[in-house]
Amino acid sequence: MADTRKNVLEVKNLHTCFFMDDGVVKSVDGVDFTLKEGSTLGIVGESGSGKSVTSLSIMGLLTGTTGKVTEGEILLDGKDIAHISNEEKRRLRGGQISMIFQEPMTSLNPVMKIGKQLTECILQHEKISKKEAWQKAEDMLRKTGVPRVERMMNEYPFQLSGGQRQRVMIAMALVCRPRILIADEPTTALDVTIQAQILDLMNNLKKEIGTSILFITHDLGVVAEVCDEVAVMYCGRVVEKADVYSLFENPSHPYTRGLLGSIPKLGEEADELEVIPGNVPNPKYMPKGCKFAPRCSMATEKCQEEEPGFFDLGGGHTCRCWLCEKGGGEK
Amino acid sequence: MENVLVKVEDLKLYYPVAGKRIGTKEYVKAVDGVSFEIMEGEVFGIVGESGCGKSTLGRAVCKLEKPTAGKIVLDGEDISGYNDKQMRSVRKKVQMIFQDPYASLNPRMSVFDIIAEPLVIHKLTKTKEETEARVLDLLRKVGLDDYHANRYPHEFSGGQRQRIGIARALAVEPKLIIADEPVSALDVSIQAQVLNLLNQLKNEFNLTYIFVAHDLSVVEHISDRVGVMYLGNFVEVGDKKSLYANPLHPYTKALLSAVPVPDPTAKKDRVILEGNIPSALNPPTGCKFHTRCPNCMECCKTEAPKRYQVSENHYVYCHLYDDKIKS
Amino acid sequence: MAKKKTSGSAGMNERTDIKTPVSEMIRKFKKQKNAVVALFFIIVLVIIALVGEYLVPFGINEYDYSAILQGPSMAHWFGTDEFGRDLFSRIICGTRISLAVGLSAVTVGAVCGTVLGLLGGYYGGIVDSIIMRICDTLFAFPGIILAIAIVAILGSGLGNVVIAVAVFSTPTFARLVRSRTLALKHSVFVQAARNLGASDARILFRHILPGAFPEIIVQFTMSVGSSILTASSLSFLGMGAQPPTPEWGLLLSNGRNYMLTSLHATLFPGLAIFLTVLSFNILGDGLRDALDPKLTD
Repeated sequence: MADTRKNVLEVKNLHTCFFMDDGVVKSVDGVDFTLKEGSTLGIVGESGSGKSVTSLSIMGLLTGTTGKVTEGEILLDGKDIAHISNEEKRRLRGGQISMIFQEPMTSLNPVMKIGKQLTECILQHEKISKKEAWQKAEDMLRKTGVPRVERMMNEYPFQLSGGQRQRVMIAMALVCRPRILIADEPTTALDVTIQAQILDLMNNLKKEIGTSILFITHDLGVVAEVCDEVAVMYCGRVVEKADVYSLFENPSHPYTRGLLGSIPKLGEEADELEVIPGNVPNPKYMPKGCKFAPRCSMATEKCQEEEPGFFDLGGGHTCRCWLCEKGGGEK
Repeated sequence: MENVLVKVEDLKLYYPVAGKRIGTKEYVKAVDGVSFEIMEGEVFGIVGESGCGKSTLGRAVCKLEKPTAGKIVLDGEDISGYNDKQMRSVRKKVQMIFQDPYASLNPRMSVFDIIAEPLVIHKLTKTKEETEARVLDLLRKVGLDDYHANRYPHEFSGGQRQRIGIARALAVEPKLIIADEPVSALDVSIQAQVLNLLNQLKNEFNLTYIFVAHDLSVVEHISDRVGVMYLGNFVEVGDKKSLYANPLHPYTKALLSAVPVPDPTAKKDRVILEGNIPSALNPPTGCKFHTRCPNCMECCKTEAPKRYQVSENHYVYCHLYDDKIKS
Repeated sequence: MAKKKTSGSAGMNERTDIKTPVSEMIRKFKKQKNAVVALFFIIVLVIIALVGEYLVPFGINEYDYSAILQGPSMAHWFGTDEFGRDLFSRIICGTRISLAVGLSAVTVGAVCGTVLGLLGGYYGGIVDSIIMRICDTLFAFPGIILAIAIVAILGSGLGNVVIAVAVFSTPTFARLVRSRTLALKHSVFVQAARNLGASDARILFRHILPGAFPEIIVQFTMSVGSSILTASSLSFLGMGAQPPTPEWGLLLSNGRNYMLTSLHATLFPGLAIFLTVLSFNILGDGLRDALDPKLTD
């Protein structure tokens, strides 16, 4: 699969640390991935895997927390955006990169009308008249498929349902036609039927606007539906990277396999689910070798001692596990 | 095995809210006339989207919320009229596991005190040593270690906290456990651990579960029988196999087709429902689902559907299955 | 299952790393340097209150007419008053009175207020309405005027000052505890306790009261400061302690007559009141941050 598409976003060796009063927590510890133009990259991981911190680092939203990007580069169209001033970061946000969050209510201003919020967002980044901006906002909102757009422009966030709010958020994120949309668990708070609507909408808008999407989620089912490529994260590292078909067909890291086995599947009978034993390690007491070794059923001495690098399994499928050393990836 | 453990008849739970005009009252019909029976040793799953009243129903069965009307018979004892004091003895038979393992444990009590609390309340152990032995035994049963007993809830991960909650529920040796979204706040790998644990404990202690959840695949995995709720009523109740293999109600069909499948090659014919769930304050007349139903007929708008039996142990509340209308 | 593996050697570290709510509180409290200083000062005050009497160079009523209104010197560190009594000794001995009045009054107020707040918040209805309307009424008076009114009715004297201050600190506690009770009453862990079959008393004292404790402690500390101030004010106005008691407010009141010529007679009692009240307030602030209900960072 030779891919000639341009890389919109490249993250290279990203390290993000949080400086707490009782020590430093490395939330993201050497993450690499690239997002190709017009494609969707899924970042999958459980809580504590560092997937959300990765997205916040890209957005430059760590200011005001104890977190800091300590090492590595984030390249947007080849330009580094990890080490630029806050003012420059602010200009990027909403224009070049935008983000939607899990809980839309927290990112909408509760006392401002929907139309006003959308228009302000446009006026921040484009020099057009208020009237034009309003028109543009209305068009965008219509594209997200909400009913009675004209009325909704004059309503407040609390008057909308959860699904509608997420649509408004998507409209707001896409209204400036950003290069990249970062979606951090955008459907986790929604019901399945609404989730299906929103996923459909995101797929359609991606095609229409040509935005690349970085889709952060814990739900492998959602990944299978919307992503072209997937990076699985565990303890601040990417442990496996592949296009969506090879990942689900040939999951190579024991963690990925464990995750897939843990989900009860519709229409499948099983008395017991496969289980990854134990818990995510406490960041204060990270294991020495492979971070997954203490929970891994196939761990060897080597895994306890030494952390594996990436092994290429062909076709862009890479895996960070000693078992793949011979290029094997045996099942 | 074939004993009826829980029998609920026409259970209603309305929340009063202030009406539009001062002094008037309107009612949110969270649970609107639900009847079902649960056999001993069975797992009854209740699924539905947020706001359908599934959690309220679960809480009403153990009377954590006071039902407005209806009858609840638990283990042959009619508890509908019981007040808080009378309920205290019933609590030995029915326990609850809560959704949010972060909120359901008192942050100022050690794990030992949390698990010992039901033993102390119901005076189930006589000496200190006995209590200690029992608490440690319970801890081990749910897969925690002895040294966890002296710790406080904030030191545990979500899955471990849920295990503590389960140990607390088991302490009184209940017959029925009502699990209200017990795994929805947990990570997938942890979710599987807790589901396996619940299954294992069920067999070990001969428990009966009412399992409330929004995740259809989780409910399928754990339940024997499943009821699908929409706006305060069941729309379909049936054996797990029959219901998932052959969903009858248009809503059940839509729900099942909306579940994302972890397989990128799977092609789905998706029924995408239009619009949102109507408010329970002003539910639609007739069949409550008719505003979003792809198969809506004239009679659906005015007349609430009756219960139709389609096969042994599979019931649906939908006019499509009325022979008279069909013909 | 999970028992099988508790992550090897790392588990050993975690085993010994126990955090209780108390240890967390101490850790957070230590970070606040000024609160630690305030606490240290208060501890010194308490020690002075307990043993100061035996350490002072002069008796509190040791008259020395040869040394009237003298400024600070090696013999009299804080100078002397209009009867030649050593001010240092009097202030040291006054510590006990001020602290005793402040602590006892606030303790009475806190206990009454907590009980009222718990009952009102938990049971609601008519009980709650009555309690809260009484509190509203008391809140409608400025504290010092209320205290003056009570002392005016009961007569002057330290005992009555304690009653007056207790009465006017009660509603603060009642309101505080009531609002915490209302919030905790609906928390999931209280529902979980109800689900276990816990009695009302158990829920109130085992689950809700401990949850309200941080707020009560903070309010208690702050109130001690303001109560000492109120008690001193009453004495200053001649409604509290009567001469020759070495109460700080009274010392200040005496010194006031000679303020133009002998500043030290007002300065030192004033400073004593000021520093004590200040440290209680700083300590209260520090405790508030240390007792943040979200036990995690």
